[in-house]
Amino acid sequence: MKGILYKDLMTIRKTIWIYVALVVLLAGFGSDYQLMFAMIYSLMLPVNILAYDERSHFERLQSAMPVSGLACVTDKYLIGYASIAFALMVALVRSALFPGYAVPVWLMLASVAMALLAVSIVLPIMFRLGTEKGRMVYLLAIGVQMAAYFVLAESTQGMSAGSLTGIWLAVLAASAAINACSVCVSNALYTRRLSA
Amino acid sequence: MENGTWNGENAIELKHVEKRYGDFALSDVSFSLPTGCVLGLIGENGAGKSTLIRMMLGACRADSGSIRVLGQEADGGRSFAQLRQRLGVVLDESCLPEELNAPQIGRMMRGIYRGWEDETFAALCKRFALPADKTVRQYSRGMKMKLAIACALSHGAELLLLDEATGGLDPVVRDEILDLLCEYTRDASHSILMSSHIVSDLEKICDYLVFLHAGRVILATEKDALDEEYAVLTIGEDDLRRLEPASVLRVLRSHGAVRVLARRALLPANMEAGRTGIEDVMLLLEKGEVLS
Repeated sequence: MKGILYKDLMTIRKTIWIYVALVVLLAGFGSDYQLMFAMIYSLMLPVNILAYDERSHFERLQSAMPVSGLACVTDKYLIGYASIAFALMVALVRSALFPGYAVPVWLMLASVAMALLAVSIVLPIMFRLGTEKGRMVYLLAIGVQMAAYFVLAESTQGMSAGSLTGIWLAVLAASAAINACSVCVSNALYTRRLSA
Repeated sequence: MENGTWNGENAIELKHVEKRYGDFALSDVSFSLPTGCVLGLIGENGAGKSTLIRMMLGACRADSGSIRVLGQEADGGRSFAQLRQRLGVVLDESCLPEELNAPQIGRMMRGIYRGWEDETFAALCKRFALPADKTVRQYSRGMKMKLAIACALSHGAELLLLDEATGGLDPVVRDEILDLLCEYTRDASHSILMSSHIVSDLEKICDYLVFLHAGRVILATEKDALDEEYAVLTIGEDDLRRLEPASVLRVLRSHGAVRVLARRALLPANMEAGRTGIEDVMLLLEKGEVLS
């Protein structure tokens, strides 16, 4: 997996700065809710890597290498999680440096939870269909998620910060569990696609 | 044989392999590649060569039959995935990540192959004059294939699988690559299976030939025996009638003449046949008819 992870990071070494700038702008200087956009953009990196792999037909070579499908799948998820963690770190630094513009804890939890859900839904689709066919589903999934978030936000309006934190902590735990299932599903779908 | 060098009789063994893909089928494919030898797999586009190579890599499974590579069943399982450490593969396109340059490809491979040899890879890149500061995307097709071959030869592979690796390359580049492959096979434990349409490449390097047509093996022979055992004749219909039916493998009628692929030992004494080339045999096996 070390070699594949190195390959993935080197593949996006030029475009990653666009992502970093976007996240710093949205999570560091944007409104509270723009943190959520920043986190959902974390999907951009693993999806870009998959797109580059498809363009070079790397999966043909990978299926001939001593690399398991699970390793190739897992490292895309790890890159997604690292991106979410980076956005969270930017939000935390912002809150520490500028307490007047601090992002509420429940909103950070909500953002991480929704981003994890986005990863768990979109990546299996990308592994199964490829980035070209999966693109529309990708956009739809993000749209549905944002809508779901706003519906939930509306329905919990007026609740105390403590209650909101508790709710979103539960959603975060659920999305972490869903991610574990998502990795297994992605592995099965990717392996099936490679052997077709 | 997980960690040691393979010293068995055959590097690859296929026995009665069958695979169906929609309306295409590989049927009863059986042949072996003796250790230390080079086998050429020849066939028209769509004959099943790439499918066979994928099955040898464990990338897809046969419906029935047995495929053994370096003594292990090619079932694509976890232990076979580790066997790929000992296989070098070059496909018809490089498939290497296009955003990386040659040294970065080397570092990637170091993280994948336990036996990766940085010095060997660097030496091969230098020999092939591959620029270190350009990405794979900026390479020509010939440079990409040279890089792919450098990767395949830089981790101590005992078996090379080449799937039309020299197709589309100019003669100078092909010659360089074939020289390298000849050097590779000087080690008696190294074997090569290569599929190709380029007959001159096969004539230069192969010890064995397997002709595949529409998913079936129609001829498997030693290359040197091809000329000893088979003859290609261009004759008239009268001469065709003089031949024993058992001697005739294929007949191709074209522009009033009849081209025949026949067994040399069964030809009439007064019927002479010139040297038998791979290309003639391939053409007759694919386009000729069985004598009825």
